[in-house]
Amino acid sequence: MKQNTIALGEKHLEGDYHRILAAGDIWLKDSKTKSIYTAGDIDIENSCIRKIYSAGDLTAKAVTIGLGKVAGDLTLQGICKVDKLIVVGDISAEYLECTCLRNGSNNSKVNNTLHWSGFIKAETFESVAPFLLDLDYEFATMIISGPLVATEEIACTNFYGLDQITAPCINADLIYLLTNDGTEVGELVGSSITIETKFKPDKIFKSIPKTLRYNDLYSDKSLITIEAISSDKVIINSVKANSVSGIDVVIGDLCIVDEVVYQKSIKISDKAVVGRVVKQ
Amino acid sequence: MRSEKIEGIGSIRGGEFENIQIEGIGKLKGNAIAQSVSVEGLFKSKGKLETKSLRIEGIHRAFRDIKAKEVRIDGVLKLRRASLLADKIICMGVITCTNEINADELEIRGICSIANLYGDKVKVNYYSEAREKVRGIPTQLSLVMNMYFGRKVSFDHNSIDYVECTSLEASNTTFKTIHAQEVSLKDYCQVEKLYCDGKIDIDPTCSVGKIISNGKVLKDKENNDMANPTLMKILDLYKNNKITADEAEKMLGAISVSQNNNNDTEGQLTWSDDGKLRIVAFLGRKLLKKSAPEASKIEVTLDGDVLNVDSYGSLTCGQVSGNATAGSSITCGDIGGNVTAGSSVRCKNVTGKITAGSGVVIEK
Repeated sequence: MKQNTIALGEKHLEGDYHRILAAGDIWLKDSKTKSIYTAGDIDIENSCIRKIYSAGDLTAKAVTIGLGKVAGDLTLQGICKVDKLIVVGDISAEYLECTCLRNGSNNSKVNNTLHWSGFIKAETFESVAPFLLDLDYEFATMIISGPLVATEEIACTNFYGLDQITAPCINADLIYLLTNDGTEVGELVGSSITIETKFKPDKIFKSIPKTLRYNDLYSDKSLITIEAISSDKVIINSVKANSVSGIDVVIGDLCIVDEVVYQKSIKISDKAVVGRVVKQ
Repeated sequence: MRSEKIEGIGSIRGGEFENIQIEGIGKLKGNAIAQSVSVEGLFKSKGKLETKSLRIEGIHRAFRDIKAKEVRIDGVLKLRRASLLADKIICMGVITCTNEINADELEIRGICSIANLYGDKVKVNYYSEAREKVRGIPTQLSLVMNMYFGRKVSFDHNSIDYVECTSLEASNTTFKTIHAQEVSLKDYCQVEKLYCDGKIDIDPTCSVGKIISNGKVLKDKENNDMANPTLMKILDLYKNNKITADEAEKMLGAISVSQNNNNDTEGQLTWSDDGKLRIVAFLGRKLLKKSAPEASKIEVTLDGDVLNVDSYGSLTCGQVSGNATAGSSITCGDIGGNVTAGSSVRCKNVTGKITAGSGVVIEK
């Protein structure tokens, strides 16, 4: 029968456990554990943990975790797999694979910009805290609800930018941007691009696995500047753009566009200023 | 040959004179030729005046053309429907002209208001001290003053409608059109159109509407502002009540931000696209002057040879085929043209002139 253990101070553990409660640094090796609650640094190797709540730095090597909530820096070696991982701190990972990955907590505010490095793969990446995207990553869906700065092109399948985004280019099948002051994006490339002043989760968004619940959001109604937008389906509002091109294009309210190129249909709001309209 | 001297009140019919000297109130009624003319009081010339030397310390009102070799103005020269042709003009007082002033060498260190100015080397610098010269004229009443001088005169800056010259150096002067080979403007000069094929040096305090160099428009302020069709369309939307004032403000804000981003650097570049290697310094988005203290701290080492180079701070490079200029010291190989450095120069052979703030070392 698996046992529970309470560790006070430093402790080395090995084998299977039902629950570990630790107030101090612990080392865990070759273990299958249902849950770990620690207030202190934790070092895990070659283990399978169903749930881990850690208030302290976590160092892991070849681990599989079901749910991880870490308030501290995370150092991962070897192949590490986590189903749902929430980290309030920096990550350094050789290979991390997650279903849902989130930086920051929705309850507490993170003032410093988080910096992650290494390779991280995730089905859904949720960014709540200020974040610098400068790592090797493979995200299917990115839900950005905190300020994000990317030094290079952001590439994913679905991109939801619900806060201030700074990036040279976003390349995704589905791009949704909420017009927030300070957003600076050079180019948007995708199959469906929507830029709105309000965000209402739709069916696609609801079907995406995530760790947070998203309600309707409203922007500060700022006009954002994007140099070029290119997509099959384009719906934009409150955008200043040099060029917009697509098959079906909707230029909404308060848009300033120098040139619009469309193939099938175009709709331009009375409240928009468009320089040149070209049908291909 | 006789001389004429008026110490009280008098008039001169005209003719040939050795000297004409006005110390009181005098009037020239006919054409006169004189070796020298000196005005210390009030002089009104209603005939053509031809002289070798004209010196004005009082007030000279000319209604016919003046031809002189050398003119020095320490008082006031008012040319109404008359022109001044001279080899050299130095004005330390006030000069106004409704026709044209033509001089090989012109230097104004006072106040001027001129309709047309033609010359070779022209220096127009505003000196507010020259206001003292017009103490008797009610300069506060602009209407009276404009009527008196025959054209609009401002005592806060110089104004010249049209200038055509080889080199122009000006400060605190308003121009409508400038045609020059070399232009240097500083201290709040305002120019509507500037045609210059050579070196253009414009202080950031100056405002130039349009710069045309070698047939190309380098800068067109008009097109950047009100001629912007997007801006006009936004204003139309607001006029037609399609957008609110807040929305219009946001849209106008967006275009002004993007224009600033596009023009921040370009608008400050006062040189033409001449292929010269320029090493400059920016503080934030502001292009620093070469003389700025931050710029003098820069040290640049160029690996290899260059054609022409102009650098802020110190410069170290290989051979320079053309001219080399640096705000601080220069260390290089052979220089095919001229060398100008703020401090020392250390080089090998130099074909042209060397101008250095401190020592020059020619290595063998």
